[in-house]
Amino acid sequence: MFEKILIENQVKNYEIVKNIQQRLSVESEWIDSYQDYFSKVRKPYLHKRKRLNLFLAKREKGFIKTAPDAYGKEGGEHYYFSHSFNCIFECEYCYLQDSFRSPDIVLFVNHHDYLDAIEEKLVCGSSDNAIWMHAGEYSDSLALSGLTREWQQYFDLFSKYPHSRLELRTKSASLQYLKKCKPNKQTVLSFSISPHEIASSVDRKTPPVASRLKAMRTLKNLGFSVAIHLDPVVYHDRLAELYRELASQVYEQVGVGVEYVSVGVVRFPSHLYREVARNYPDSIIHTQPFLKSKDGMRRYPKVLRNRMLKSVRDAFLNQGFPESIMYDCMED
Amino acid sequence: MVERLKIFIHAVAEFIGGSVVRVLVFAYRGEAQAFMSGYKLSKELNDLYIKDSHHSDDPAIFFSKEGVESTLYKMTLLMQKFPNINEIINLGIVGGLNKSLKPLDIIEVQTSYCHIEGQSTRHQSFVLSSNKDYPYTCMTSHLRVFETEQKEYLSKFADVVDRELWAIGYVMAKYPKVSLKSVKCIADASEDPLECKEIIVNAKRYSEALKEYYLKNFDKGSPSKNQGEMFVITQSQSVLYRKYKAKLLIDWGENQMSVREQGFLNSLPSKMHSKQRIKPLLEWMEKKAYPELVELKEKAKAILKPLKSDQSSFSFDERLDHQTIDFKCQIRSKDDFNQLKETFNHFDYDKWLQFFGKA
Ligand code: SF4
Repeated sequence: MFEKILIENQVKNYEIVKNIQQRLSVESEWIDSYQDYFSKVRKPYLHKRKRLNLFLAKREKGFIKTAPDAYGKEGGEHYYFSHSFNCIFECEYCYLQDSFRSPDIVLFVNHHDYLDAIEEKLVCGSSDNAIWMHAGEYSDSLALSGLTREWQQYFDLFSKYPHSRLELRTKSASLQYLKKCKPNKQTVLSFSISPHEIASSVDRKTPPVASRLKAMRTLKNLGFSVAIHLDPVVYHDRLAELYRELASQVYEQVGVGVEYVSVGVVRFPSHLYREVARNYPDSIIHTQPFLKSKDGMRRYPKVLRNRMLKSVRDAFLNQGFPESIMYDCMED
Repeated sequence: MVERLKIFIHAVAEFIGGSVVRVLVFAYRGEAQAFMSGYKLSKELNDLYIKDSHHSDDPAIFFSKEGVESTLYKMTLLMQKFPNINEIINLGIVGGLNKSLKPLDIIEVQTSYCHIEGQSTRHQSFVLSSNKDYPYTCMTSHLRVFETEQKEYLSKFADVVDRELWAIGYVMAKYPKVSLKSVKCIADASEDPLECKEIIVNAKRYSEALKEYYLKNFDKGSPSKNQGEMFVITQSQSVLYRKYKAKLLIDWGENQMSVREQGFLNSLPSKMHSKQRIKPLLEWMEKKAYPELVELKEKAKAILKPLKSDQSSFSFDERLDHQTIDFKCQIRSKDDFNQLKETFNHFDYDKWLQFFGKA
């Protein structure tokens, strides 16, 4: 998967670093700072297929950020944190294509600093002011969990604060590591899913939706809370029908007992849209009825957008998912 | 001086003429020696060499000289003066940075970066056309790289180091339709940097290795020319045409697409010229590609229809993104006024809001 591991000298004695090195039999090189190399030149995004490097580094500051409005379920305070940049999967619409100048993966391994910063926020939470921490703004939270195995320490911290919530958002179906973790009420493992016909054409290198659903069921049975992101919804001629099928699959595999179901329609800032065109010139995305707004954003026409949202929502409501757990994600 | 340049341009333009041209770009003559003797290029005009024949398919050879500035200047001049160049292949000798590369290995570069001594690296990079599976990378260095430490630093970014490719990429980025490829021969391995003298002494061997690779991989005729557009169309029509076509190709497949498109065109009156044919063609394609959207548009028109009368008309955002209705009317008499009231009575604004998902 990785061509080489570049390790900052200041973390080379960390236990997690040694473990990662052991698990990957790849050449390691020592560097002073990941910032001397990562994103210094514009490395083509698709080099992630054959020329992917892994940086193991220490983050110095900015461990937690306030989440924008409509980021998560209504109510409470929402924050996000990222202890990794970039992703091994390759969804054609992924904003990571435009987030860094390199697809190389950076893992910040000073988890104790993240945990301290998170705890500082969590102590302020109360029963009517839940504090949400969303992981994985710049990566898939669980795609590399088998390699990094960092989550148990986060679960332990959150279990001390009953009104805290930790969301790990993923498309991964690999459960090796999570199966060994102790579940708690505070952690929500949320899965992004879409109908197979759509996912199989735009979610490259991700586990099939059926495997994601199976993973959700297993995790739920283990005692984890699970949630669903129907985001991004991508236009399809048979959208309503496909989402009805998906709702029924979710119902059969996972049941309606999920923490929440968020719905969001695909949209692209202009830079990202150009990157998608460059990286995936044959993608179905370029055949979609997008409009370019004045701000350069590519969105479906409002009438269509609302109809798409309604079809998707109705599919899940008709399947018995309660309205109270559904929300629109980042929709204007 | 200006006169001499004019004569030079005129003479070269005559050789390149109207044909499609491939130019091989080397930094210096030593790297090109196997090509120069092989092609027996008889005309020499400054740093551009062309075979002495109007209809030759053989490539022209151009020397960019070493270094970023010189290459930027010379490539800019070349591309400005000869607009019918449609393929550039940069060939040359490079230093290996990737430990797996050995002297005389040949690689095709896919991405080019730049490093300027004292200023670290330049962010901009250029992606070249290469049909090879493995994306080799090349760092163009402002200065010659002999220090092992320097090589060690650059090796974190790239597989090889040269002195000109990034500058060629920089100029060629302004000519996206001209294909740019780069073939490099490794002169020294990463841990064993050669002195410049040694490279010059061995240049013939490197040049022969490059030529052998070139003949095997590139010397198979000129690249294919772009297919012309079928219609005289505006740019926005062309964007729509390509978008609808891409969608219909997915839905129907290539054969069905061309059969149905041809069938539709045949159904149009033969008197219509191409400018007139594009509008109905686009409408037909939109209907086939996005039936739901077209249906929604029809629905919008039906909701708004009561607003149309003898003295009033309306327009709306046909892209269905805004709910604003532009309404125009003329009131010339009491009758007109009453008629207008009647018009509004028949119009259901809530239905319109509902249509936009607002009610
Ligand atoms: S899983 Fe998420 S982060 Fe990874 S490529 Fe897909 S959209 Fe991007």
